[in-house]
Amino acid sequence: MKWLIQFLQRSYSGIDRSIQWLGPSPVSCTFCGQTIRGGGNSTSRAGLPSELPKSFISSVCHSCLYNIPWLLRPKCWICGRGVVCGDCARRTNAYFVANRSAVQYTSEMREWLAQYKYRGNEQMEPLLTEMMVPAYRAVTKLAAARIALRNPALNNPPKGGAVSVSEVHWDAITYVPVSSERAEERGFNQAERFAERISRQFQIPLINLLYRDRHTEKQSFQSRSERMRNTQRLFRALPEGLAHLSQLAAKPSAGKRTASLESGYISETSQRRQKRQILLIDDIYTTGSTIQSCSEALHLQSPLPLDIYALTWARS
Amino acid sequence: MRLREEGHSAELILLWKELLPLGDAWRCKELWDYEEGKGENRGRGALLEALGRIPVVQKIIGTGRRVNFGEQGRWIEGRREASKQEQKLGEDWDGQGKAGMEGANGRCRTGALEGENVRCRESGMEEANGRSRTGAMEEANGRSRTGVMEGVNGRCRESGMKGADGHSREEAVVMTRLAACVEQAKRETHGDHPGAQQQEGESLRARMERWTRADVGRSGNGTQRADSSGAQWRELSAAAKRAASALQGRALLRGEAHALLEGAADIGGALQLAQLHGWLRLSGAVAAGGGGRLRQRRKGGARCLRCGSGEAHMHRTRCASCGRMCAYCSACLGMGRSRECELLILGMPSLLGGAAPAPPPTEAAFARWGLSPAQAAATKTALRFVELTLHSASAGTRQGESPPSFLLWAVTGAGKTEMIFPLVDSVTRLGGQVLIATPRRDVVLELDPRIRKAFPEAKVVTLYGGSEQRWERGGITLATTHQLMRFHQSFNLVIIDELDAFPYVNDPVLHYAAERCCSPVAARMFLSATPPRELQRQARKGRLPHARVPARYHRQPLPVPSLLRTPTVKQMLAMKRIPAALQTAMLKSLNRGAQLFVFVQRIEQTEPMAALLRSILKQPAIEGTSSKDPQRADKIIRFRNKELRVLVTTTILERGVTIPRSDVYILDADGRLFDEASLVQMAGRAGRSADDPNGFVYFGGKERTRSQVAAVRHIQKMNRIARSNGYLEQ
Repeated sequence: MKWLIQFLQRSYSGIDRSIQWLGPSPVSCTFCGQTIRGGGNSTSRAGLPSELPKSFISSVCHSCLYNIPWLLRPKCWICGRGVVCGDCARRTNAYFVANRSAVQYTSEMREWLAQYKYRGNEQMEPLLTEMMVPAYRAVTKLAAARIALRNPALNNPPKGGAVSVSEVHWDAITYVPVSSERAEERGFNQAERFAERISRQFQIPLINLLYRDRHTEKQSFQSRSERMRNTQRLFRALPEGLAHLSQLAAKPSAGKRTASLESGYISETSQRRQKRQILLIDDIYTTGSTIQSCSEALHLQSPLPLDIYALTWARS
Repeated sequence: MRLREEGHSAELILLWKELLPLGDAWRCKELWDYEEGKGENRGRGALLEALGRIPVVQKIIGTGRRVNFGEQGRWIEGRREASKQEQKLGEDWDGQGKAGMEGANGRCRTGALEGENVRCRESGMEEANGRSRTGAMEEANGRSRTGVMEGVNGRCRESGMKGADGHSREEAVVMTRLAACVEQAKRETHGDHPGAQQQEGESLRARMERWTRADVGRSGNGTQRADSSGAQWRELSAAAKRAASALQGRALLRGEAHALLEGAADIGGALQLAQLHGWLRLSGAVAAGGGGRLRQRRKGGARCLRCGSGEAHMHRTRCASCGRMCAYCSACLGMGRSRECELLILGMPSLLGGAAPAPPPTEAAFARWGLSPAQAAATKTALRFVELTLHSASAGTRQGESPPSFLLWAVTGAGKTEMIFPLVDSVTRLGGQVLIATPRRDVVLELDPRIRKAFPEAKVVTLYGGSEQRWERGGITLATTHQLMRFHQSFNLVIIDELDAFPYVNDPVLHYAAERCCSPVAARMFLSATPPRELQRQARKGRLPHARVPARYHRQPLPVPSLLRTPTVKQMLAMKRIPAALQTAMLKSLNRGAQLFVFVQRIEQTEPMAALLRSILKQPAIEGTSSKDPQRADKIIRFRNKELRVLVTTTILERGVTIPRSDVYILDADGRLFDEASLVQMAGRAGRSADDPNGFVYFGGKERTRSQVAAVRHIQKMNRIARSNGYLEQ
């Protein structure tokens, strides 16, 4: 009798376990590791940027998702900061047009980035990149508006309506390089990875245009003035990259542009607009000195006139 | 002829090691080992050809150089376009290898080196430079490439020096020394050394170890070596010895080893020499799936050699350190990233110091621990087990299987910590290393002063995330279970406390770590009040030696829970009312001066429940806390200091907190999160002190569940056993 009871008890716990197996497999949040409760579909998108990809929402738990400090409405039109910004007003010789960041660099965001950058949790990479999509849209819109402003003729495109995001053409996407020492220690360059994913998603040619001359201390340990000093002449433009860029500009490339070529409108744009539109990617924008220094190097060494925009993951 | 061939193959391996990043060289070696075991009668050339045909080798050879697309300014479209180039390089290398094999003794190496130089020139100095920093081994390798040449031909090739550029002249000299000793080992394998008789069926690794040992033996009368290099060699050898002893029983990544050996000059060289001597083992931190022995390959997938995780936790990404798709382990990321091209250094096991076995403890000596009869009986059984195990294990070393374990099943409040003191004492006297591991950091911190007080003469090292003593070693180590990942065959007595508690339970990584940190001569002790079912079954079946402590140290029975029918916490919160029976019981507890633990299931219920109780019981000193509460530590201290009368909490406080006069209320006791073990643990918070041994425990729930009944039975059974053994005061 005793063994029967034992047997039943044991099979009960077995069944219990198998029922758990049959249920929907629990997905754990990439950022905090907690199991995501309930279906991802039921979450409302209120308060989230509308361009945020669905896949992102479904792989992040509720509390992480709603605690992301998005930078949706920049106060400073140059650096994309959420508050009015003295730095940009002070800067007289900006080599870049504007920066847009996905999030504010709060302590939680710092923790996330550290998880990825220093701990090497590369599973976070696709999600961090997806977070940059709304900011990417914003900076693209900005670039479109500027082009339209500069060429009043384009304000009345043949089909009517304003220049929309999808019609703006980035000539190239590039990233802030790290020194080879750092790349080896870490195993990757976060900016390069972000840039690669964005280039793949939006089909923009990725060109490595920059080279880091010397190995500097981690910027996160430095004060503002140290950073400014340190980043001076830190970067050099790569001649191969620039050559590649001008090559690209010379021959009309395939892909997206041909799709909207029917009216000849875009090719007209690219002829009239002589400046090349470059998107520069980095992880954090703090004083802007890195972006400034990179843009400076590009401007000084490029044979073509450039318009450089920056897209960063966080704005501190 | 046969011997000669052996010599050549050793040379080839060394050559490979010098040319390839460490992880790859290691894999090649394994593969070579395997291939050689298979094809005995084939010539070397054939063997090499066979190796060359294996896709893994091709791949390894092809990607041994770093490919960084971005740097060359090429347009990345998510596709690699350099495969052709890689292949070419692969062939190149193959050619070199063959040339090397065909050429006679010294000359062949020249050829190989020239090939290497060509490669260097082709891919730019940066590459040679960069690659040399990949692993500690590489540090040595990148430079020793030049060094070997110097040692052999007695001249330094400028191009070679350029390849190692960026390193100071001084470092190059040290490397020359290392190279010279490697060279000596090689020369002896050519048959000059009479002791180097080849033994049939010996693995290549064993042979290499023997050769290098032979070299050590002969170092005294170094006939062929110049005097100066002899002195330098001794210096490096001493550094290697120091490194080996510091790393004994450790399993460290490269960065950790550097932190441990901080200040030592030329760590890479010392490690490499120690490895050649067989004083430690170097390997990739992740064993690659593609390489390795055929058996492993069939089993499939890469495996993290530090935490034992399999393919499910491997993530492959493009790696800028080694320039390939390189797997890293996501299971042990928190302890530093372990990846394929990262170096893992495994120290040698710590065996017993060889001290004479202590005389069996006399009753008088045992009495100094002041244990109760129940504690003493169990402790003596455990002590006998430990002594027997260590004795028999040092006679014949255990192979493969898991270390012998003992379960100490002691009820809550039995005084487990005091019971382990005699065991710790016995093993430290034998010169053994003792580890006490618990899953939680606060418990480690609480245990620390007690252990130090009990063993004032021993060196106690306390390890947890962010511990200051991280790189120290002592006779007694206190650690959280995660820290065990940094040890390898290190301890002779491993005591694992609260083995059924989070996070130890259900975490295969920690189980693996707890197993691996046991030295080949080791006993393992599990402590628990509520052992997992599987262990209980093994104990019952007699497969797991165990001892039970059914009574508390104060010799009073455990408080038996009473079941109350109550609505759910959610309902209570909605109605802002608690049932009358519960209210009377709580008021009674408060009036008798007890402090109250109130357990609820969910974190978000703690604060509202505390507020509700504050208003109903008219008692302001009531707080709620949970794992998400930043002020948790502060509230617990206030509760301990009796500033708080009632603490509403979740299962986080089910263990470890001892309040002298306390009653326990478990609400929603029928909920899913409270199983038998956690109900018994929570009930164990009551009546722990000798002043107030009869606390009250209430299980409140809508239903009577199996867990509740089982928990009550468990407690009653323990009381019964205690009474029948006469452990209780009448």
